[in-house]
Amino acid sequence: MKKTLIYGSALSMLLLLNGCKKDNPTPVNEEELITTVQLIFQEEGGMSSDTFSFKDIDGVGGIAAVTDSIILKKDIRYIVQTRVLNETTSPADNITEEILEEGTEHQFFYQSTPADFINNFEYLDEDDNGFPIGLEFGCNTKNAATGTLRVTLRHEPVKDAANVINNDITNANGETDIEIDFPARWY
Amino acid sequence: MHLQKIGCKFAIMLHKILWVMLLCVAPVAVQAQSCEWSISGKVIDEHDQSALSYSNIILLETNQYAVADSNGYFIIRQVCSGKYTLIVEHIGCTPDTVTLDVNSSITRNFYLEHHEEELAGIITTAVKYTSGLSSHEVDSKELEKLEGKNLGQILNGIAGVNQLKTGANISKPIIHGLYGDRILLVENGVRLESQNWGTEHAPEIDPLAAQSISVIKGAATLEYGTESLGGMVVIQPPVLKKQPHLNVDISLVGQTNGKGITTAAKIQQGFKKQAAYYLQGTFKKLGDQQAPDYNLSNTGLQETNLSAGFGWMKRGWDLSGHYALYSQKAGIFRSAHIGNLTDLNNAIQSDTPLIVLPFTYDIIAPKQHNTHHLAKVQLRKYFSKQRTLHIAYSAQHNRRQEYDIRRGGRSDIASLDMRLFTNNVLTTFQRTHSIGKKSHLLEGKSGIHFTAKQNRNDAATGVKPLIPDYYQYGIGFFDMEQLKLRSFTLDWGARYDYTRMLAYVFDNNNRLQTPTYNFHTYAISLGGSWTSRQQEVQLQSGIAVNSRFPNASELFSNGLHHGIAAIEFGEPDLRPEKGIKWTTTLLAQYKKFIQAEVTAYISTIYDFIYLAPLPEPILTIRGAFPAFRYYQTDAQLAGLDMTLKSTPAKWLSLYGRYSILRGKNKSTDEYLIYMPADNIAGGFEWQQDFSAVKNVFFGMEYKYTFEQKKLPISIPDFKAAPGDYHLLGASAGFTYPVNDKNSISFSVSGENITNSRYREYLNRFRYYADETAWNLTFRIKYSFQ
Repeated sequence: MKKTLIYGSALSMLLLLNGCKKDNPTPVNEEELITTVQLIFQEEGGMSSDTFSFKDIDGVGGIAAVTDSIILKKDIRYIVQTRVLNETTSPADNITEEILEEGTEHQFFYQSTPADFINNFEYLDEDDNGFPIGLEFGCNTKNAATGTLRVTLRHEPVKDAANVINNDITNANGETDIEIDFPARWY
Repeated sequence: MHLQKIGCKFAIMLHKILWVMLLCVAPVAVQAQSCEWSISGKVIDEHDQSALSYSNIILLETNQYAVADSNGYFIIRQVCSGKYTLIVEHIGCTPDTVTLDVNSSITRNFYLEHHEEELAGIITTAVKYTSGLSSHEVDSKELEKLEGKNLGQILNGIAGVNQLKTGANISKPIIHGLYGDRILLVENGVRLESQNWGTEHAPEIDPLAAQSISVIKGAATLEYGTESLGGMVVIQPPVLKKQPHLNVDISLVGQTNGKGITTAAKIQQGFKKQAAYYLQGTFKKLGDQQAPDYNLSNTGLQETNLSAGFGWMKRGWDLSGHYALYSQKAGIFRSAHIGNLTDLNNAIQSDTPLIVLPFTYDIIAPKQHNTHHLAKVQLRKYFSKQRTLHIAYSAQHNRRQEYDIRRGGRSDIASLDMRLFTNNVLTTFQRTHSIGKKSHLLEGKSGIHFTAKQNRNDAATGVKPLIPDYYQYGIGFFDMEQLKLRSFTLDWGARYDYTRMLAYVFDNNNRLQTPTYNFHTYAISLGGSWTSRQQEVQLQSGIAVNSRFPNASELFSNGLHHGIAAIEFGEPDLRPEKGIKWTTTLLAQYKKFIQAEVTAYISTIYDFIYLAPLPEPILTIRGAFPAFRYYQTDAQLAGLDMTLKSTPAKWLSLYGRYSILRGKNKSTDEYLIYMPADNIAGGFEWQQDFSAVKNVFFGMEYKYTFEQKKLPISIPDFKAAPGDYHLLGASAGFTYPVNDKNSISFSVSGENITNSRYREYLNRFRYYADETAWNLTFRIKYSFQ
């Protein structure tokens, strides 16, 4: 009986140790990670442009995110392009293209605090159903002041809900994929 | 047994008289020969080598006979030389006929085959559990009335047991306030090894494959591990009997809420050649469920399960095997899948879920796919003097895939894809000794347990995994003893486990780190019970010390958990938890009129691991998220469970139950989060048998759940705990015996028949929607015996 116990235990140890393969795992390449959002402001009719960005280089946690302050001239109309990147890969993954491809499922919102900090807002792009996406827009800066510009990207928003096409996020629903508060100053 | 002994003796008398009469008619030449021989020996059960007390041994030719004693020993004296036909008989056995040539005294053993031998039972052997525990069994009759429900829903009806729900379909049992890693789930003697660290990971167990399910709330058996700080759930598969038999059961269940259908079939067969098997399968399909005012979009479910077992008995040993497959696809409530704190606030402020779509059976992202394979082979060898050696090898493979709503057409690629492969070898040795002259027994069980486990993430997900790849090896030693005296039982036991864990963690720069851990955990239990002579009062009390080492999620979490809209950080320096629990149960009964059971318990857990929020939310590209970290504190839980049952008339039974629990974080002197609220329930059942139909019943149950007011102040909750609520249920049914082999039973049960609009504190989806509306379940079962 004792022999059986010993043999049984030895056999089982062997079985167990055999079941393990020690090859190292590979790191995951995060495809949907968004690390960078850039807002490229160009004066309407002008030539030069200013880029302000938000960067969270390593994703959640780790190194803290860095948000630029948007500094622009007062009382000017700007045309803005928004670009979304994943800079953990080399070359950087251009997520803007994916958003464009799935345009009907995405919409950007730009809300300022105070509410009239930016005015005369107009979406300048369209998805396949004629609804705005928001990767391109135009707006005016108001008088010299400081405030905040919040950039939100909603995934699967309800684009035909009340006022959503007018940059009003109230009834938009959907899920937030990007939400950045840029401190801003017009001079 | 006593009556049968007398009956046997009477039969022998009759036998004797008949033979004497025959002998008188035919004169027998009395030869001059030696008549000083004796035939002696022992009558033994062929299978498990136990003594067959009070067996009858008859010499047909001279009708000399003996009755074996309580140890199976017998002696027939003054046997003359000659050839004899010996018949050895015992109740419940096939008699043995042996021809003996007597020329001198003979001593030999006789082996009889017991009819009712059971094969694959796990805890039907000597040392069951330690006493001082409160154990509740949901037997096959009750399981039949609950067909179609999942494990958490079935156990919810036991006082002191609750469920932690993630929507209507996913629930984890909570025993005395503790769940997940702190309770052990054992299926057919195999400890369930799955990703049970997740609050939204339900146990991969199909109740339709079980013969009975028991919940142990006190000191649990040390055979399977050291971590049952809360208790244990034991799932017994269909019992295999080796006598020739064939059982077929086919069930069909339909439910109105979710328009769901469940079908299950089981076949059990035993053969004369000492073998038996069973085969069982389940298929379940459920669409979106409804709350009273709206559809709960994407709450469908599809399940395909299979289980099989076999057993083979020989003299002195048996071999059995078991296999179970559990495969489930479940939708995650669409409106519960939110982005950041802003989204969460929008969802919470809305009284109704934000996304309500028409009813469908389709299950789309977000969803979970789970597949669990469990296989076991076990060998039992029976030695003389009631000693048994038991070796069991089991392997489990758990694959868990979680699908998210993703960009770029990736919703078809899982965001989380983990494979957990576990091997277990359990070797136990059981022995029984008689102590003293009275029937005092000392039963003991000791064993060695090996575990080897491996967790692998699939890198093709394109998403950083929630927990890393890791290997885990463990070895455990245990010994349990139980002393049975006349009205007292005493038991004690100890277990030590050594576990080594090697993790492969990628830090924020994708560099590989390989932290290793060596955990030493142990468990000790000590208990006793006293039963009054007339068995109207039984008092059980026991103290158990258990320890649990931190799991991969508690150690290594690093990132955003979509399901809970929070960022979690593991704590790599966590120490094992050590809990000490004292449980006392008093059972009292006065005839059949009233039966009461009261269980009181108090437990203190040192280094209790829990999640607490960090002072500031973390800013990410998605906005702000609350962040949590794992901490250790000392926790104390205490509670009371009461169950009452009364049968004032043969046709009427009444019952009630009440449970309360308080859990505190001793360092902060605050209540623990997610503790079940007090609840009270009561009901009646009217039951009658008629000539054409049997077991006609009608019952109702009322349950009241109090508002959970005992909440921690420092841990913010997104929404205030919901208020109290009332639930009313009813059920009715009957069995129609077609003939003595076939029967069909029907039943209807209604839940929440008043269509109460309520939310349950322990349902993580209470932030977004109400609980389900009324539901009628229809059950038809055909049985062939």
